[in-house]
Amino acid sequence: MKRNGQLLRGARSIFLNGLLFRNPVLVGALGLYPLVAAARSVGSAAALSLLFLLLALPCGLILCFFGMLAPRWFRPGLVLLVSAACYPAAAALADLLLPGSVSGLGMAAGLMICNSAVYSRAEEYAPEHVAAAVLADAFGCSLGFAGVAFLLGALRGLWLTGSLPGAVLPPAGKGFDLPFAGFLMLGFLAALLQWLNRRRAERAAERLKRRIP
Amino acid sequence: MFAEMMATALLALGAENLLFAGGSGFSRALRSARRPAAAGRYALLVAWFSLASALIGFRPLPPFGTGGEALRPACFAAAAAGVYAATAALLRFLLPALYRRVSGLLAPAAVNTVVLAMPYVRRSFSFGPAAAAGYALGTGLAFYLASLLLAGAEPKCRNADMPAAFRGLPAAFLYVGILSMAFAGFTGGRVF
Repeated sequence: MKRNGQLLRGARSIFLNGLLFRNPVLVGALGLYPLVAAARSVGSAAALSLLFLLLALPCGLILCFFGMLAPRWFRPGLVLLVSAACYPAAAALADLLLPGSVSGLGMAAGLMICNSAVYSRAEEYAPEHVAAAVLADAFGCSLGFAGVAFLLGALRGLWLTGSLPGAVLPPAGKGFDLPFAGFLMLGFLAALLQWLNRRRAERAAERLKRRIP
Repeated sequence: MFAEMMATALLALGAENLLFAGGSGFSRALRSARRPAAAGRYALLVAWFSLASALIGFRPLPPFGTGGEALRPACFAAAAAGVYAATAALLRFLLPALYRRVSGLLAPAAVNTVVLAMPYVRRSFSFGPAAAAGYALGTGLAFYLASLLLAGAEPKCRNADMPAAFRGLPAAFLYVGILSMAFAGFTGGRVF
């Protein structure tokens, strides 16, 4: 019972790290191209997020179960191979759930095979952790990636079309669909997260100081 | 043959346009910029993997039907994985001293090759030996230039006068955003 509680707390912390505190995009600078180039609307953000989850989950689990069987030097090739093998099925499933979404993403869809966020978690994290931790990490990172994708997609959608579901505003102009706008928005989002993480660290230090007089 | 090689090298140098105007491969270029001393070796490996993958992976694939669009990049990534495994095995067993020096760069260079080759892969290009050499030269050079440009920005992004929240990665994002805006001015927003 106590062990289950510890496992649950551990999984929660891994999940939250992937989702927010060590967000793969805003802290790790991983998997940037699909976001800055293709997250131009809520629809494309949904397609990217789904594709990320459909790749991160099987790649993580396969490397968790079989990664340690491969020598360390061979593992990067194995991850790329597993990701390439999973991609056609992931793309087909994403297209089935969101028709036309994968072709709408253009080059960004194919680049999800070597998305550095999926790759680094599958190569470095998955082989050395238990399945529960890998699952928590895959879901956390997928939600972290999706959170950033939806924020970028919604803001760009608002800027480009002047409308969001439930809100209609005059369109502000074009150019916001280009990658530079994605980078600028990522800069501000990363600064916000860095500020939050610093506040969190300061509070934790204060709590520790109070406990140890 | 030389003209064909140089023309393809120039075409591949457009990959720099991809790095800045498009942000493609930026995650790894940023990491390479943090180790400027290794940027040359990194770029050489990118050029090697580009050459080998172009010769092996740039093949007009048979029409796979509706799933063809997804299979083409998957096949190219699998080819790059094979090239990585063969290179790592050869270096590890035949040139262990060299392997120790480049082992940390081998995998990211192989993955980056897939990223930078994707526009060609989507158009189902196929290269002869001269064009493949030009493509590899251009890609390696593009990656090296991008790493140098980002390496120059690294200390500026850690400037102590900057608000703490923006120091480091957020400043790097803003720097690349502004640079990318300038590239978009030249390209008219078209990436590749």
